[in-house]
Amino acid sequence: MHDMRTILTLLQHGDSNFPAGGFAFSWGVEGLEIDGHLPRGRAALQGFVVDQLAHRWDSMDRVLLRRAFAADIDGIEEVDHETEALTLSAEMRQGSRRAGRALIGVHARLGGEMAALYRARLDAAPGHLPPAQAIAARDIGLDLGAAELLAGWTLITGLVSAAVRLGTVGHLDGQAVMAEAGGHLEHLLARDPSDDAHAFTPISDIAIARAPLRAQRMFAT
Amino acid sequence: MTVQETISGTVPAARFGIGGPVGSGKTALVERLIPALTARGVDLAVITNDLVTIEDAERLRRSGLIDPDRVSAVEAGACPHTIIREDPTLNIEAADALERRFPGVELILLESGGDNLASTFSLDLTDFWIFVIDVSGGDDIPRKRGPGVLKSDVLVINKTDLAPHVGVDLARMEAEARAVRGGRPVLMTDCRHGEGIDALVELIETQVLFRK
Repeated sequence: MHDMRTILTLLQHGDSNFPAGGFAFSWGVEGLEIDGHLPRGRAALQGFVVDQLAHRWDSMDRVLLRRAFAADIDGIEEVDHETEALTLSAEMRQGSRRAGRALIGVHARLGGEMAALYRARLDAAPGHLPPAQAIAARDIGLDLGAAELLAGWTLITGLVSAAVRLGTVGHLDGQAVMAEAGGHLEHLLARDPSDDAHAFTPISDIAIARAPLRAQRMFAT
Repeated sequence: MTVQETISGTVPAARFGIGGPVGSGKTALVERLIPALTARGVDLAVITNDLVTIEDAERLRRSGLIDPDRVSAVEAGACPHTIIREDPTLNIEAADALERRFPGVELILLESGGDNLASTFSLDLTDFWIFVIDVSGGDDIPRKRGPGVLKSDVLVINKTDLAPHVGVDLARMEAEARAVRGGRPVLMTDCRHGEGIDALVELIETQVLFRK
């Protein structure tokens, strides 16, 4: 169980108002909705969020975050390059880099020492989101468990927030999806993930990769 | 030294926000400002926040007015006001990237996506920002006292040439705008014909770039 200081930090940094650019990323929600693979309603979004949690975040992003969390600054950069190599879609790579760089940027401005150090490496390092989340978590004094909780929760809020803005679900169904997904996140966090970073979310990967072909595009991913 | 100052090791570029409702003429104003500022030797770059497409960014890139690499587009995530106020992080990152790519850039024009009268810029994003409305949107807009109208550093009333065609009393609209803004600057422009642009450029040189 986390102490009060950690809980307050999580509330601040897990709030969708935390200014790290997250609201501009739909991570496939927009593409799936346009392509007709995410029908309106709670059930479809629920399934999508749970799939993303289990088959991308838990098996890949979380694994990379854990490695970066335990590494020194050079080791973090290695994880960063590994993230680049493991992310198949160019659009997904770009989205992860932009989201990660935004997170590092805001933490550097807020006085984060490791974020400032790593920001100076971003001409060479990609700046992907999982290592950036590890850097941010260390700068704000979270332990590994809290860092994982924050990363998983911000994925859930980001997906649901994008779906509400796209009209896929209403605001109340959105809250229901978040509550349900929170239960899945709790289940995932109760055990350690695999050591091998891997993901299998082909439908959303294709939806994100198709973004440059669409005339309508409101989100970065 | 701030984070921003370390980007290029030089004085950071001034960041100039341009907000206003859809269709008020923000992009047309940028198209007028680019050649006017360039003619005065201002080293500049542009960021656009299109709502649904990257049409504004592409329009500027193809305009021949500026090196296309100096134009960046940032997606607004369906919330144009959020990306300039509550969470301007992606715009800040885009501006930082432009400064890294073009050391010595003096001015970054940041054009918001079209929004409503309540949109304002974060003080952490821009050094100076203007709000563009137009006469065809109705001469009652200044009277509505939206935060964009009231809090911007300069209010620009564009499309003055259309006033007689849309039944707007231009003199009254300008007087009401000046009254609600308590004497803060109001500029009248007709971007289509280039009217009023020099006054804005002069203001940028004196109040944003501190050249005079």
